[in-house]
Parts: sequence; structure tokens; C-alpha cells
Amino acid sequence: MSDKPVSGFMHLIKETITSTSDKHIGKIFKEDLDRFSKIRLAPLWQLDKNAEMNPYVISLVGLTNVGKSTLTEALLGHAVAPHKNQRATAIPVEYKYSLNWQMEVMTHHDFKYKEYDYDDPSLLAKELTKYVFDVDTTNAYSVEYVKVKGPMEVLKEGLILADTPGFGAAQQVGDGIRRNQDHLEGFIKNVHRVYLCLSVGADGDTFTVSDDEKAFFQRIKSRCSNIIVNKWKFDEDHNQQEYINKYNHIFENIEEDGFIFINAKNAIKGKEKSNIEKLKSDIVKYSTPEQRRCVVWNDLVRAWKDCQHYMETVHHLSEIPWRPDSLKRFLLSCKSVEKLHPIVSDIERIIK
Amino acid sequence: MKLCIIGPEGSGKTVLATMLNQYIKTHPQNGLSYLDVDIKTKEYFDDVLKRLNDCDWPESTKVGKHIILKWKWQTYKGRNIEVVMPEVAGQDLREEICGDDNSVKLKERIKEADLIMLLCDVYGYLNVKDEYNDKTKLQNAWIVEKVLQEANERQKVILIVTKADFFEYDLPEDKWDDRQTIESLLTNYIDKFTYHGHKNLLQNRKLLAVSSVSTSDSENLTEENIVRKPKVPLKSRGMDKLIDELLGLIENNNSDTHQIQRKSTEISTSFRDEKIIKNEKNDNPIVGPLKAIAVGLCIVIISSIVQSVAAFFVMLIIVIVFVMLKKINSRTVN
Repeated sequence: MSDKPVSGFMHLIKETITSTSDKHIGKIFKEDLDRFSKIRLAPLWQLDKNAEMNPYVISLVGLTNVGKSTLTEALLGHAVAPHKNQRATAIPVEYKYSLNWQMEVMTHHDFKYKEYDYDDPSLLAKELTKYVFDVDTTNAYSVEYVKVKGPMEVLKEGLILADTPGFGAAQQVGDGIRRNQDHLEGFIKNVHRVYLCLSVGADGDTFTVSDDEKAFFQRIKSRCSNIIVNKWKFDEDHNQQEYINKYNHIFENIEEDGFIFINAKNAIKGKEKSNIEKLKSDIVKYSTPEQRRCVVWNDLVRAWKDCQHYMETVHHLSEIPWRPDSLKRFLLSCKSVEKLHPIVSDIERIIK
Repeated sequence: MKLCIIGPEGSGKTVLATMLNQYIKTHPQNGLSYLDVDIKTKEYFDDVLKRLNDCDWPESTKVGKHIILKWKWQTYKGRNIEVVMPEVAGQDLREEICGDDNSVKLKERIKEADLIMLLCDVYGYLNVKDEYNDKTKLQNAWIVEKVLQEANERQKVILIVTKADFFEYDLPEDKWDDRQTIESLLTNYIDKFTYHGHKNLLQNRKLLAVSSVSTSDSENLTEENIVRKPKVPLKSRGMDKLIDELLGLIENNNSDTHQIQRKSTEISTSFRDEKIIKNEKNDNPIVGPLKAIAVGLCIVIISSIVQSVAAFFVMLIIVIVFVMLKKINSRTVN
């Protein structure tokens, strides 16, 4: 039996908790270890599990009007993503790299698959708008999926970007509510990394998180390590740290540097203060299985160090009383990965 | 020959028996074959195998529910081994072996076995909280100790460390039949107080380690937590060595029986010879002085009929020579 390193760490925590009595290491210490595993390691486990997936799908999700489509356009560098200041349909659009501009549409009422070629992305965008906006309700439900292909640099290494309908849009459209909601939920299940989009209100910080959103976040949190705050006004005196402090208790597994402040409109207009490059570089690091594994190993080393550090400073434990057999199993799982050498040397020191 | 599989709750009896039987069925070249003798046992194993193939563990036996699984193994020489495995809830098992309860007659079943496969689950032992106060932990260790203690000289015992793949660091697979490595694993992980009880009892017993089924993480996290499940396709490790060991002990038991038979044959043969000699000695009812008087009378009568002193002496010499020859002959036989 050889665990993968991330699961090795999770088993180590679980087995240390189950095999040790409360009076030995303390109930609070055990609860902290458990929370650490859930908050820091569970998302990493999900990322590790999906690392080899091909295609690898990244998605932007959020309420309507947070500017997801504008953000998508800014990310892709082409005006292919339809965005209008009106309600969207419940059809997710997938973007994939290809040398030529193409659009694939599948409708479920006739099970017909249609493929269209375009010379210009703006023509494609017009056609796409017909499917996702300018349709009556009945026809909108008949579209199963829309796939857009084209020379979009950020997706060159093989990523797929999915622009999902605005969360909450499905509730507004009458008879087809359930189907669209199920459709969205089903779609999200097949997404490997989720970027949750929020936006700043007109006054700079008005924004509340509804119970629906909280529940939705609970379902996706193991695949979500970033919150994108769109419509950020870089010109004004908005304090990012203040914003993070205000909301990070809701998104408990999101680290501080997981909040990315963006102004997508500025990015489209070519203005400097958009921070879109940060988002691009974050997305690109998930492009290939090797890069995704690299993210996992780096995060795992950080998590190991943070765990030791937390227990030392908060619980005043110079050494965590790890269960010895589980620690050795974790050691063996880490030995096969060169990048995990810091963990290996730490454990070998503990065992000695 | 009778074999009993016994071990504390959660030690992996059910999975070991299911996977070992499956291994025996699919690897007949190892020298053992499996024979069904009981429909309930067959259904039970089929159900366990299905669950394992569905990446799930078999359910533990509920308190008060007793199932005695029975089947047979046959060696390539045609020798039958009747195997019995009690499926009893952990609490009932502890009360039977370490207490006074005798509803399943476990002690008797163990006592009448020629070979005992005793399972020891170090991983499970470590999983239980609080080393000194938890009754379950102490009692599970007690079961192992008790079975070892009560096994008599006639009974062969193999102590099988299950879930050995969890101890890859301390017990690599090539050491799964290495006594010293297994002993040091037990010393390292079973607390000293408990292990002290086992150590002497294990001196003349065979130690082996196996992994009945490989595990992997479940497909999804359960409430953000991780769970180990059977890995499909199911894979066992260490079964070849276990079967070899079983065959060796069965064969050994066989030769012991032969030796006993041979000894008894020898004893009865020598006893019979003695009897024959005694009988031979007792064949002639005329013994000692009576014999001498009879011979003397014969000589006197014959010599008076012939009316010759010389004939008397000749006959006397013949009788003396005959007696002497007979004495020499009987000494040689002895």
C-alpha cells in the first residue's frame, strides 16, 4: 500500500486523532488538526486527484452581474464572450484553444450537433449571443452546450475555460427552473477548478453573501482556492486587506493571497490598473498535469510547515505527537517526490 | 485434520478467509484446493466478495449473532483439512475466550483444532484510543495471548500479522516471513506490557505477515475526510507464503501421525515377540526336574529292554548333547 503524499498527510492527521486519547494531547489540539486537514488538505486532495484529468476544466462562477463574461473576455484577450447588461440564459459556454475560430452547438430537442467556422472572433461573438441571450425561453432550454474554439493564448496548453451562467439566473426564468438549475449543478460537478467571482458594489464595498451562495460555496470549496473580486476600483482608496478581513471568515479555506482583485473593464480597455495578469498567471499554472502536480507539491510543503508552525506557536508543542506508523507511511509516500524533500528531512529527523 | 481461524474483532478474519479461499481457487498450482461443505458459508463468502468488489468492507457481526463458517481444503495428496471460522461479534468473542460465556463453544472448537491460524492486527490495535484504559484494546490483545497460552504441544499455531502492507517501512514485503522483523514490529508497536505476555508464548510458533486486500482512498472525501476502501481489482499479497506454510504444517502433522503410528507398530511388534517367546517357552508343559526325571526313566527303561550298560551310557550322552545344543540355540535367538 502506498498512499499519495496528500492523502498520506490526511491519513496521518486522522490516525493521530483516532489513536490518541483527549487527555494525552488535548481535545482542542485534535480539533485544530482536524480543521487543518479539512481546510488546507481537502482542496489539495481534490486538485491532486484531478491533476491527470484531460481535458482540465476551469470555471468562473458567481452571481449574475458580477462581470464574469467581461472577465472571460479580458482573460481570453478576444471579444468572443457575450456580455450584456441583462439576464443571461442558463447555458454554460466552454472555451478551448484551436488555431481557427469555431463554434459547436448541441441541442437536446433534436440531438443535432452543429459546427460553425468563423474568420473573425467578432462574427463568432455575434452568433454566440444569439444562443445565450437573444433567444426566447423555450429555445434557450433546448441548447445543451456551446463550445467556442479559437487561438486564445491563455488556453494554449490545453485548459478549458467554462463561463457558467450567473448563479441565480436560473431562478428567474420560470418553467425551466429545475432543469437549468440541475444543468448548472451537473456542469459544475465536472469542473476541476472553480474561481468564485464576486464584485464590489458602487460604493466600493457593499456586498452580502446570501445563504444560497454560502451553500453553493460549501459544495465547491474543495475545488476552489481563489476568490476573484471584480470591478475593483484601483483609482480610489480601497483597502484590499480590509476587504479580505471582512469576508474571509465566510470563505474559510481561501488563503489571503487567494483573493484576486480585478478590474476586467480596465483590462478590456487596455488600461494598466486591471491586475488581469495575476489571474492569467494563476490560471496558466494549472495548464498541464506536471504544472498541476507542481502546485500540489508546493502547497503540500507549505501546509506541512504551516501545520508544524501553528502547533508550535498556538499549542506550544515542539513536536507534534504524530502516530509513528502513520508518520512512516507519510514519509514513504513523500520519498518518491523530489519536491517534497523538506518534508522527508523533517520526518526523518522526527523518527530519529 | 482440523483447522481453526481465530482473531480479535476487526483483525481481518473475514477478508483473509475470503481472499485466501479465492486465491486457493485461482491458484491450484500452489497445492491446495477449496471444497464447499456448507451452503451458508458459500453464500457468506460470495456476499463478502461482492462487497469487496464494490469497494466496500464487510459488515461486522452484530452482538448475539453467531455464524460458524465451515469449509474444506484438500492437499494435492488428497488430505482433507476441515476449516472452521467463528464469525462472532467482538464483544461476544471476548466474553467467550476471556470470560465464562460458552454459548458458541469457541474454546472447544479451538481446543480440538490441530492447526490454529491466529490473526493479529497491529494497525487496528493502534487505532484504538488510550493504551492502558481502553477495555477493547486490552481484551483484543488478551484474546491473542489466551489462544497462545491455551494451545497445547500437539497444536500448531501460525500467528498472522494482517494488514502488513500498512507497515511497509518497518516490514517490507520480502520480510513477511522473517521472524526477527515481525517480532521487532510487534515489539515496536504493541505496548510493552501487552507484548511481554505474547513474547514467550510465541517462541515455538510460526510468524507470518499478509495483506489480504490492497486499499486505496475512496473516490470522494466524506465530509472532507479521507476513507480507505478495498482497491479493485482485488489484490492479495503474502498468500503464497501462507499456503506454503500451511502445507508444510499439514505435511508435518501428517508425518507426526506416521511417526506415532510407526512407534505404536514397533511397540506392538516387540510386545508380540515377547509374547511369542513367552508362548514358546510355555509351549512345553513339562519343565525342570519333571523333564529330567522323565528323560532318566526313559533311558533306564530302554537300557533294561536292550539289557546293556553300554547302551545306557550312549543314550545318556545323546540326551546331554541335545540339551546343550538347545541351550546354545535359545541364547542366539535372544
